[in-house]
Formats: sequence, C-alpha cells, structure tokens
Amino acid sequence: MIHEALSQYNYIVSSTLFLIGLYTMITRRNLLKKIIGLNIMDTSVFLFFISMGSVEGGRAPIVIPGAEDVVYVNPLPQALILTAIVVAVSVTAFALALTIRLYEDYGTLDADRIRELRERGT
Amino acid sequence: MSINRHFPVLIVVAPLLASYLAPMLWRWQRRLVKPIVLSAAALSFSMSLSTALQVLRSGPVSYHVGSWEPPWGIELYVDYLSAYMAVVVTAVGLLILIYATEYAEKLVDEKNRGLFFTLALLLIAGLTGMVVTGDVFNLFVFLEIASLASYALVPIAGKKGSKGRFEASFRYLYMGAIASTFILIGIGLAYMATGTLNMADMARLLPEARQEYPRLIVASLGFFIVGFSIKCALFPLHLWLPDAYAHAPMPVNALSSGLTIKVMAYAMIRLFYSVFGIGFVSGTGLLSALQVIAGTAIIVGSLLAITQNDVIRILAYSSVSQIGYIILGATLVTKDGLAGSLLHILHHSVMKGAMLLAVGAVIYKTGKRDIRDYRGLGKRMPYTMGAFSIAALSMVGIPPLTGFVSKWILLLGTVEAKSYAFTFVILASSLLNAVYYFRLINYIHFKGETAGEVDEAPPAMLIPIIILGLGAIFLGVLAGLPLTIIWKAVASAGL
Repeated sequence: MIHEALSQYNYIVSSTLFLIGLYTMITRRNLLKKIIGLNIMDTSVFLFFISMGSVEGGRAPIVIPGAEDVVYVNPLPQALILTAIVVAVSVTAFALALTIRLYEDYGTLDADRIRELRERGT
Repeated sequence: MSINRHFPVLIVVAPLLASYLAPMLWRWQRRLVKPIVLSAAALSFSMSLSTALQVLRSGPVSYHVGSWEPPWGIELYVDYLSAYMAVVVTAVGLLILIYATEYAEKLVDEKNRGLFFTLALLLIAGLTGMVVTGDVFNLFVFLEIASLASYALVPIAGKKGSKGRFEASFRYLYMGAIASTFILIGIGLAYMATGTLNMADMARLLPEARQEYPRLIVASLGFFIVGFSIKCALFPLHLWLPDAYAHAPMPVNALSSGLTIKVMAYAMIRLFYSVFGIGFVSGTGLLSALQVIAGTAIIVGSLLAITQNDVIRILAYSSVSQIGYIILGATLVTKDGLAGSLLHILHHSVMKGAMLLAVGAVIYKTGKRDIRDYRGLGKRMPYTMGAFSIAALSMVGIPPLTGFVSKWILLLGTVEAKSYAFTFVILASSLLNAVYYFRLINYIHFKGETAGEVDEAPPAMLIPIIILGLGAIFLGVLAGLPLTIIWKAVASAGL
C-alpha cells in the first residue's frame, strides 16, 4: 500500500503543491502573496499534467528516422500545458497590473486594509 | 453555399477578428470602430441563426477545425443545445453592444473606449466558442478568453468609474482563477481515465473507464462542479458577483448576467448530459447535493436582494437567485426540469438584460442608483421604465410574461421528479421576488416625485431596452418558438 503510494510520488507532490498554493491564496492578506499562491497552484497543475504523460525511459516525442523500439512520452499533455502556461502568465500579468493600481490608490498591499480604507472613504 | 459549412467556426472568428481590429482602428480611424464592432456582432448573430435553422432542419453539425479528424483534431459540434445557446448569446450580445456604443461615449474614459469594445467582443467570442466547441480542452481555452476579458471589463470605466473598481476586479480574478484551476484539474483527471479530450469520444470511453477508475472519474466530476459553480456564481460561491456588478459599467453587467454566467451553467449542463452521462452523475450523489445548494441559492439570493437599497445590488443578488433556478432545473433529471432550465437561460437573459440596461440609462442620465432616488422616474422616462417594469413583473412570474412560462415548466419538472420541497422553494421564491420587484415598481411609478428633470436616453440606448422589454412579453406568449429547439435538445440529452 505505502509502496504503491510512493511509486506515484508525482501525484503526491503535485497535490501537496496544489494545497500549499490554495492555502496561501486563501489565508494571506498580502496581494502579492496571493498571486504567488496562485502561481504555485498553477504550477502544481502543470506538474500533474506533465507527469501524467511521462513514460519511464521515454524520449522526447520527436521521431528519429530509422530508430525502432523507441518509447516516446505522451506529447499531448505537454501541448496542453503550453497553452495553460500562457493562460497562467496572462492571469498573473493582469493580477499584477491590478495590484499596482491598488497600491497607487491605497498605498498598501494588505487586502483587509484596502477594504477598510475603501469603506471609510465612501 | 459552401461558406455555410464554415459557419460554426466563423461564429467565433468574426468577433475575435474585430476585437483585434478595434484598438488599432481606435488609434487611426476612430469613426470606423463602432460600425466594425457592430457588424462583427451582427454577422456572428446571423450566422448562429442560420446554423440553428440548419441544425433544426437536418440535425447536428460537426466541423473539423483545420480538417483534422476528431478525436485527434479539435471538433466544433453544434447540436440543438449549442445552436440554441449560440443564438441567445449572439442576439443578446448584439443588443448590449448597440447600447454600449452610446453608453461608453459618456461613462467610459476616452483612452479605454477602444479597449472596451475589444474586451466586450473577446468576451462574446469566448462565450460563443465555449458554446460551439466539442472538445473539453478547447472549452477551457475559450473559458479563459471569456474570463480574462470579463475580469478586465470590470474596471474599464477608468477615472469615470467608482473607486472600488480595481478591488472588485481583483476579487473576481482571484475567485475566477481558483475556479479555472479546478476545471483544469477536472480535465486532467478525465483525460487520465479516458485518454481523449473530444467530448463525444470521452462520453463513449467513460463507461468502460468507470469500471477501472471509479474514484478518479467522480473526483474529476467534483472538480468540474466546484469550478463551474464559482464561475456561474452559484451560492455560496457567488461572493465575487455583487461587488463586480456594483463597480462595472452597466453594459458589462448585462453581458455578465445575461451571457457569462449562463454559458458557465450551460458548460455544466453539457458536461453532465453529454460527457459524463446524467445517469452516472445522479448516481454519485453529487447531483442531489447540487440540488440542495441550488434550492438554497434561490431563497438566499432573494432574501439578500430584499435587504439592499442599491438597484444594481438588488439586480445582482436577483441574478444569484436566478442562476439557482437554472442549476436546479438541470439537476432534477426530468424532461420538464431541463427544458425549464434551458428556457430560463433565454428568459432571464432577456429580462435581466432589459432591467440592467434600463438602470444603465438612468445612471447615464442622472448618475443615481439608490432606489429611493427613483421616485417619479416612471413619468420622466416612460419607455425605459416601462420596459423595466415589464421585465420586473415578468421576473416575479406574472402570466403570460416570460418568467411565468419558464418557472411553470420548472414547477412541472419538480413535480415530475417528486421533489415537492423544490416545488415549494420555487413558489416561495416567487413571493420573495414579488417583495423586492414590487418595491422597485412602487418607487418608480407611485411614490411621488424626486427624480427631477430628466428625459429618455438617446435612441441607441433606448431601442435595445425596448426590444428586450418587448421580448419579455413576446417570448412569454410565443414561448413555443424557443421550445421547439429546446425539446429536441432535451430529447437528445437522453431523458
């Protein structure tokens, strides 16, 4: 049982990273830390996809002419994750842009403090 | 004739292309922006309509992007449900864009105006893409296009917007990003179990995969449900919605309430009925949990709406309640339930669209959004407020208006499912709706005069409001029209 679980360590690592990221997003008040948490969470999903498609002893999926008996890793998850990385970068960029504007407006990165300032202001 | 064949992809490409042209033209040929934006939306609408008619005539259409055969290539699959949703999205989207051309003139910063149209078209392109795609990962990509556009649309008003706009946008992004990650994991787990991303292929392979990896597939379904529940603002995951509405320009709210959250609910329905199979989904127990959550959403959304004085927040919480109806209908697993849910997607888009745009017209004219300042507006802006009141009455469920028809079919669905608790929930919620909508109507028409000197908004804004207001009447009387395609969609969903 334990041995079986340990042989699937890639999933354990990615779910741990996922939980770390989600926990950071929910509990941290600093906007930058929230964004870092988001990125950890995204990375865990990338790891999950890439490791899902890997084959032990597999090569990069580029066909070598003449070579036989070559095991390739599954290229599809890698292609998907390239797209997912682009999405994650755009989300991060937009979140950082918002953070800059929030900092300009309120002079703090603390989410609770920003809410306090806004409620007092209006 | 042969261009017909490419309509499924062109529905998405037309707004996408125009969205990239808009900011460039805004720099060099400013007067061309509006015609290009509107004609792209109109083109997309007419192509959806033509595709829908074709689907009604000769059955579902499959389009292979780049001529790659599915399941390897990306397949666009327009069946009855997709065709119906595509028409709803593009039609309501077109009306909102017409309205927005005038609204943005006054209430969006000049330097953001070109970007406003870019993002609005990107949102529509993403949503139509989600509707027509037959590929799960493609669904995710379009979902992200739509989501990023809608996060960025919240603070688009610039200096003319309210102070909390960046915070509202950040909160929306923060919850939306968590939801997207959940959905991506759901896709990953489903791909692990089946080795395919094509929806039809996945549906074919899932029963076999269920034998081998029962828990994996339930986990995948769970991730999808949580992700899409956040995206469609299902209580208690609705927290981003009221804030986003309070700070975004009104056409953006109309797009969000009328289209975005509906398409997210559609995605959930699509996954339940066309991918996982409703028999399996209801066997996991997740569906009955979702029913209870949706029932709670209906009641709590209405209760929260009653406590508000800000018109926009009243309408926002009302949307939270209405999305409950749609999810409840979809999870009843009865013919009437699903049909009522699908019909409510259209009806709520029209009613809420009319109301949000009408409130937008008042804000355009007076800048007021507290209900107590709306006294006497019924005389000052008779057409706008007439459309608003019809939509409000329709929302309460006065026959023969639209809201009545879809709620009636939903009621039949709950009876058919023998879930009498939910029959009671729908009836009780109609009473709660009456409390806050009659309050709005009362302030607008029968409470003296505080509105001051205002008149109707310009025609570009008034006409979409009137069309949607009339829609709230005629789609109720002529509900048979959308129902022809809905019944076919329900029949092909395997109920």
